[in-house]
Amino acid sequence: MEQPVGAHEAAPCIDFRGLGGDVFLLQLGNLALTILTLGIYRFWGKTRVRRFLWRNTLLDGDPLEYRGTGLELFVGALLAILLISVPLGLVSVVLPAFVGRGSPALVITQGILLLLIYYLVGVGMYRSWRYILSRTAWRGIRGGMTEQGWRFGLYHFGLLMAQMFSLGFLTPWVGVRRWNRLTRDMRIGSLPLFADAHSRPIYGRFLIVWVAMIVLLVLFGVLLFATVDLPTEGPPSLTQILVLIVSIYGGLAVIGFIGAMLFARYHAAFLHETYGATRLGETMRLRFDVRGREVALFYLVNFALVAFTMGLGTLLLPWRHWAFHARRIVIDGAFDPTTMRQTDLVGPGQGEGIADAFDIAPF
Amino acid sequence: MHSTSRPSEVVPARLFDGASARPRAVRASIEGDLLVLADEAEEEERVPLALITREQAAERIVLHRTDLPDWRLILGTVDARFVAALPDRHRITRGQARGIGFVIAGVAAAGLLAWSMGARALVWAAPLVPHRIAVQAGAPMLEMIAGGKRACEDRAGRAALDKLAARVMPPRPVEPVTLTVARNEQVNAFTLPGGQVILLSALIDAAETPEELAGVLAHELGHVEKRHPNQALIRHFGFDLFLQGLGGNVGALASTGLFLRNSRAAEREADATALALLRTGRVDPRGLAAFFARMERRAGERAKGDRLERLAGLAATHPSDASRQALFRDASGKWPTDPVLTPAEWRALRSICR
Repeated sequence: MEQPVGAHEAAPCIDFRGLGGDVFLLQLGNLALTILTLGIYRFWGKTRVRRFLWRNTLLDGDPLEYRGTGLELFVGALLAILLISVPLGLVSVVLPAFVGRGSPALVITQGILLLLIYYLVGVGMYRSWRYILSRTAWRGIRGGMTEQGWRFGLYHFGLLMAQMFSLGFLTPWVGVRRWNRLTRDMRIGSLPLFADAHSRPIYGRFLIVWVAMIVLLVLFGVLLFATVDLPTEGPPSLTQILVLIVSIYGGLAVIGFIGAMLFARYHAAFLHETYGATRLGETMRLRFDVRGREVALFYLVNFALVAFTMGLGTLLLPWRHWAFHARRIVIDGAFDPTTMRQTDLVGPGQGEGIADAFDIAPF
Repeated sequence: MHSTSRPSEVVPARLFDGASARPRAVRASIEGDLLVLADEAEEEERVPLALITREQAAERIVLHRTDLPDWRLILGTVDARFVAALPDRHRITRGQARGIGFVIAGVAAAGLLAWSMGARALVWAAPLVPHRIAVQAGAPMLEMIAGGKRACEDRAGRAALDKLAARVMPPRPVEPVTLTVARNEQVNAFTLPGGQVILLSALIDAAETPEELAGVLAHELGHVEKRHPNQALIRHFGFDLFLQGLGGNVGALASTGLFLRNSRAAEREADATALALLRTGRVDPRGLAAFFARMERRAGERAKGDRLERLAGLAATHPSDASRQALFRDASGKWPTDPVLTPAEWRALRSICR
């Protein structure tokens, strides 16, 4: 570890102390209130969980502080519903009634709306980070994003198209690009973040997943087609239908399991590369050491938590995700607290509505 | 207010001024209504206590300043008297607790109201859906079931179907009815929003008399008359999507729960309307009763051949089927009846899909 001139302290170490049991109790209360209020309490519940996670994450002994409120999330969600659902309803139900189904005007409008929704995915992602960073403070210093997210939406739209039209082949490239672009706009107080991650070191592991999935799915399709045994005359019996359904879902489950295990290796490499290429100010660098096996175990436990508890374990997933990251991120380098000044960025007035609607908020 | 004559205990603390992340070690004490902070250079800063609020964060006590939202003072070991002088901003006051209670009770009450009055609200709102929009909302489903070559349009068969439909059609339907026959192996019929009724070919094959088919059609027209599909439309766009958007999975579940009782009641309503339509059309109600009975028998027979289907049959046989049969069987002889179609017309209708 080199120590640049003028540095006064080692970079802060991260310590996460939140216990799963405490989160679970908190979440049980949230669930009860959410049911009582027909789902509306969800935003306040989410805020309480974040406050808990932040408060129990200490950097050099000082906790993170979450300053968001449930009301902000609620208002954000209302705005997102207006922004997304109303045009969607107009274009899919009301407009066809007047111009007729299949008319060129309708097809064009619906096409534009679809593109707009793809655009909003990126905007939502950016604004979600913007909201969360602006509501996060450490030693009284707030974070932020330098922009509003409209430009990132365009950039991200291009990435999504590249990913789609390459049938997923460009996934690592897209992931790394997204990371770099988002990170460069992040600020912690006056400290800028910067990332220059590359996709080349992680492409090999991804290609294994990509090729394996294609080969397995094609093989499965051929196998299913060759062995399926349905009567040529008359409807099949319920037993035959059930056997077919079980073999389809069983086969897909096995392929999904293999895919997830291979993907875990890639995911570990992705985390190592992206965090490792992220710098904080002039003197600090992030590090994230994780093995494919650990990521695979993380997936499996998450799956078991949801599958074998009739979904109740879902309540623990936000904590699992936070802990997975917070316990592994390491900050290397030297930290001079006097250089970390308050940010002059102004945060948004309401919560991450769009990201909430698309379910893409980071936490 | 705080007129302590002697200065309070001196407490070690760390100060973050909100301008930089640099911590400053200070000693904090309370003098009158001032919080006094002294650093190593003995430089003193005095903050009016009125501006200070207190937060208990895990094992630490953190002081905030209402005029400087980023300012934080983190106290070390503190004695109770020192703490008591500072207002706690994060403890929920009794008034706030009452407010939160009212909001939760209000939302729960609104849910209860929707649960008990939801059906009535839908009945009231259903006629407000413009016919044009209702038709459009049903169009994708119609296209899926009866699009392209799946629609049956044999001319003689169609003429017979129209004659049969005229017998059970209400004199003034609440909205224009369109009738479509689609090739499909399921014995079933649907009513989509906008008065769009679909009969599946297997249903026509399964009916042994025109009276049976007329009975099924009367039931579907009962749904049109009671505007059930339009109610479902409002439910979907007005409640499901909104609550799902706002409340996620729990919201969607809540919406389902609010209207769970609806579908059973709707079937009963459609049956009652069907009975009235059969009476005005002078159609024998035993047709529908016989049709229900045969469907039940058929399900039973199929089940014998297949162990799993026997299990499924056990679960599906609920008592309301018997009461539905009885409703139409008991109505027989209560009004004079005329045959619905001639044997030739019935043959033509049965080959509408050939």
